[in-house]
Amino acid sequence: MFSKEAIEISEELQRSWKERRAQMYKGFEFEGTTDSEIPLKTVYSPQDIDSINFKEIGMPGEYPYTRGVYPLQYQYQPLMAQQGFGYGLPENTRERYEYLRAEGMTGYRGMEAPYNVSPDIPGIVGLDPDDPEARGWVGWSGPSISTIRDFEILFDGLPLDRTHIAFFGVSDPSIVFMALLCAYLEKRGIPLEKMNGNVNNCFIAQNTYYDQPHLEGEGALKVATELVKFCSKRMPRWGTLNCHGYSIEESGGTAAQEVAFVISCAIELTRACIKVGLDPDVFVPRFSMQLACGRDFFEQIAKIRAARRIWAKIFKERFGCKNPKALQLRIHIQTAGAAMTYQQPLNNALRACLFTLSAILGGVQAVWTTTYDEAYSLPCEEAQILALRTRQIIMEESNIPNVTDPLGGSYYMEWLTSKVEEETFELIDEIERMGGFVKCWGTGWLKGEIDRAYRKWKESIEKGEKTLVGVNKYVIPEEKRPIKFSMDPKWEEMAIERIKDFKAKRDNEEVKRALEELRIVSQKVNEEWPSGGDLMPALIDAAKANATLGEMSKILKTEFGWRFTY
Amino acid sequence: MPIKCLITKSQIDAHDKGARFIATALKEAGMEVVYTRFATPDEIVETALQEDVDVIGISLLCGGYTYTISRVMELLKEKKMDALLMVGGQIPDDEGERILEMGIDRIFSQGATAAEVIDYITSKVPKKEPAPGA
Repeated sequence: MFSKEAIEISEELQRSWKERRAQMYKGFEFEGTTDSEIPLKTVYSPQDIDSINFKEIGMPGEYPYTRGVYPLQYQYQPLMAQQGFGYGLPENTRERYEYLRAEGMTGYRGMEAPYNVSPDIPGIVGLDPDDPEARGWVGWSGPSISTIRDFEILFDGLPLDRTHIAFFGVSDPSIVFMALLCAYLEKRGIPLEKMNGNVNNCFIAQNTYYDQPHLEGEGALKVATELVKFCSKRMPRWGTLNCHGYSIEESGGTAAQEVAFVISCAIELTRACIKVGLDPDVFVPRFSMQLACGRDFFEQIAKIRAARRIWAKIFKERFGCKNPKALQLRIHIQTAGAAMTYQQPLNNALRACLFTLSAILGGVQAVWTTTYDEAYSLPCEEAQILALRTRQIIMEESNIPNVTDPLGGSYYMEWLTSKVEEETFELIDEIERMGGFVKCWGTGWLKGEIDRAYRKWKESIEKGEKTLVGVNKYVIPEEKRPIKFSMDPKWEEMAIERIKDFKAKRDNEEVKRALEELRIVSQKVNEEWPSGGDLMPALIDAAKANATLGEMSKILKTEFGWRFTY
Repeated sequence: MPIKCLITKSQIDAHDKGARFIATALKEAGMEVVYTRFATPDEIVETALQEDVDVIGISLLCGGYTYTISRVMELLKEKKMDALLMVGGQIPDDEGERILEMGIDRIFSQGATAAEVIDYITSKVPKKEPAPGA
């Protein structure tokens, strides 16, 4: 990267630096690592990055997109404030949405405020609120939504074709939520083709992070592929894979594990989509990633930069993609929730600011800034606004967004980006050697790897080897922390009453017919894979006939297999 | 005879690393640990009875605590079972008193260490004599 002369000068300078260091700090050694245990030097110099080909760093908007996927970044396209905010009933969520919209939860250029829908705990495993297993969890962590009627409460009257809608935290039932959305859109007369948004549709979170049962490996892959197939034809602007790396970081995974596992998941889904006859140049551009930004400031930035570069290389070299959009990885960041502490909660607002700043310096497309009350309740209004303001202060006051990839060219940043890239590629190749993502996931290898990383970190906190302010250092006796947000137990009862009423008033013969049709189609898709037909139209028909999330999910669970990993 | 603990979480309650971390730590401290995921609170009591445990630890992160705890207490009373009852996870401070009144012996919320949990159990559960013939 540098001229021979520049390296000679740098080496000379380093020699005198070393001498001086030895003189001044006789016998003193400092051994730093990143949060992922990458050993660090105390300073980086040109020779640390001399072996990197300058083209690997390049320019924003140019392959391999280390510095960003677009030639102009926040100067043209603002960072989307993609907050999560739902709880209780759909109307509670709608009210919170309107409030945050008024306070400047802004979307992409020319778009309305984005609408993030992360369903409640029962919803993310495809259970209706009246299911006995859902008892106690209805409306927690998100709104209870399971019928087309719930979608009406969430969305009626909004200009949906100018709103970015995202279903967050949903693994397997992604396709069912999409069917309910499509049925709702058809009812409102909004063309599917015009819709912007995305859905996780990845099979990582439920297994590695939530510890919930999930669709059997191969079955999950088939169902996810069916959604990509449908959207490639009917919803060209919809994101069909927002791969959930966040769940890996939150479970204690390292930076390399987070990126390697999501890319391996995308590789597996790409192969399956090719098998059903889809063209990667058409569907890969609709893939994206949801990563976390956590404790280690520079490592997070390096991770984001490395993720873009690895993605570009893999889809160019291994899948032969020619469409530049297939090589441009768009990233959404949710700032780390697990890094938020229960002790001294206001400290979390400062952590969230650092995490948000690392996401912005990494040049991502959208950020969800986690609220300071993350460790003890769902977000209260005050915390939500502070999260929004964090982003607004960085984006609109600090002048930081005036320059794209401001850390590009830093010896440390480029070295660390390459280091994370190298470790990530090793892991991706290891997964390939072991038979691919679905296999490694099914045997529990993947979860075991993350568990080990978490245990190491947690023990280092308990032993005080690593610092967690307010938890293992600078501890103060605290008063009781009042919760500013609480769930009304009435909401669960209301959700149950509501779905019972919905089921009583619909044409149940029609529901039975549509569900039986869905069962036949599901069986055929599963058994005659990859040419057994199309799953999504049968799901949309059932949704239009007023079948519920739980009813449709139950059929998929039975036909494609439903279990815990171990 | 080692102290026997049931560490359990709901099948659908999202997140598990806390419960698994504690389960492993208790095992390493020489206790016998049964780790399960329950579909309904009834299964907690059923398992506790079958396994004849000394300690029941329920991990609750994403809500669900009011219903789960009250149902477990109801069933334990009904079955006349006696065990040390702990809950862990994300339980708001404001709810603490109410939960203790429901009959839970101890709440371990965020920041609690494995050592605290182990100390608490060993201080509360009397050393057991080997069963006759065991």
